[in-house]
Amino acid sequence: MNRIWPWILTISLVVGIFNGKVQEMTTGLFDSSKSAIETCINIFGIISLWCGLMKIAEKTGIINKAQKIIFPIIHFLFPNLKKDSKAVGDIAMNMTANIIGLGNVATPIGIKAMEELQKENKEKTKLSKEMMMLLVLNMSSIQLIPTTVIALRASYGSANPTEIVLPVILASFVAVIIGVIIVKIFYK
Amino acid sequence: MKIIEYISYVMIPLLLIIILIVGERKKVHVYDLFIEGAAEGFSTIAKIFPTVLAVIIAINIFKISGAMDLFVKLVRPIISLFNVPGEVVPIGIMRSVSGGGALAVLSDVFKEYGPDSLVGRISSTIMGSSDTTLYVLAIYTSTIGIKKTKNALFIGLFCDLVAFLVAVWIWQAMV
Repeated sequence: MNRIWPWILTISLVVGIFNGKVQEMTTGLFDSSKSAIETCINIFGIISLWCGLMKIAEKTGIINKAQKIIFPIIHFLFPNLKKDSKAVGDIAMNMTANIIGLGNVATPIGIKAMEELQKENKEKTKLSKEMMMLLVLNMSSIQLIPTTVIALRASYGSANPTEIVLPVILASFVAVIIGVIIVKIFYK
Repeated sequence: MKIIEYISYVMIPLLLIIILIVGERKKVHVYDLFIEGAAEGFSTIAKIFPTVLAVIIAINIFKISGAMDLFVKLVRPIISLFNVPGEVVPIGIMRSVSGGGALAVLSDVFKEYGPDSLVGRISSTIMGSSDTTLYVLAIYTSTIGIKKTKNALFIGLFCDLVAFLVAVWIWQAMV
């Protein structure tokens, strides 16, 4: 990010000046701060709700039980993760939320999972194998029903809005598998 | 299809019920615990906000300045070598960068070519098959202070490229 961010900004600003978009860019800067706040407020509620619920689940032992059930599935993708790791529950919930299409629920929980993984990370400045795996799963995100796209297709008068469901699953599945393989090979 | 949709709605309330009932049976102070836990959400958000701001600024300026269009123009000839229709290149690039932006591009595609055209179908598939790589990477690493994310970015973008090509090839094979 330290290298990409200034480059994207500088090149864009220069291009914008040549395109005569100076005024639009200035308003764009202020609009960006507004949408950043909106994004955070959207996540804020859900992340607090999740933290609150998980506190109860933790103290009542629900998490312990759930982890024992989910662990075998997660273990394949995250072999270094220990059974009692707090990240197990978060990762499971993150994956479930992604699959059923609750993207805005998945993100806050994924962030929590990353924080738990960082506690177990040996080299604090580098992404661990587990973190890479979680990132790959989220960057490609397998989603059973791409609801937003279907809704948009329907609103533009598509004869069969849901015909894209299978191709979507196939495309994201292939991408995720390749991502998982890359992480498995290159990270020990 | 309907069943999966129903499950996605009912899952969260169900989870809530289970947690509350077990909490009551174990006689813990459910309400106090909830408040205590929810307060932790704030520190996470405070850590995420600067990252979100930085990413959104860069992406918005990238779009508004016309740099994005320029980039698409440069990449188009290379992508076309893979037998990919040039009209789907903008959404392919936008998908990795900005979710809202990609949705806007998708609307334009539908307006111009219709959702049931080859371009419309490919674009829909690209839109649904990936998440916003740049945003996910920035937000997920923002609270834990990890600076070296170059490899993760490459893997993420590579996966996007794979999903993109699969989306194109599926529809070209079917139509």
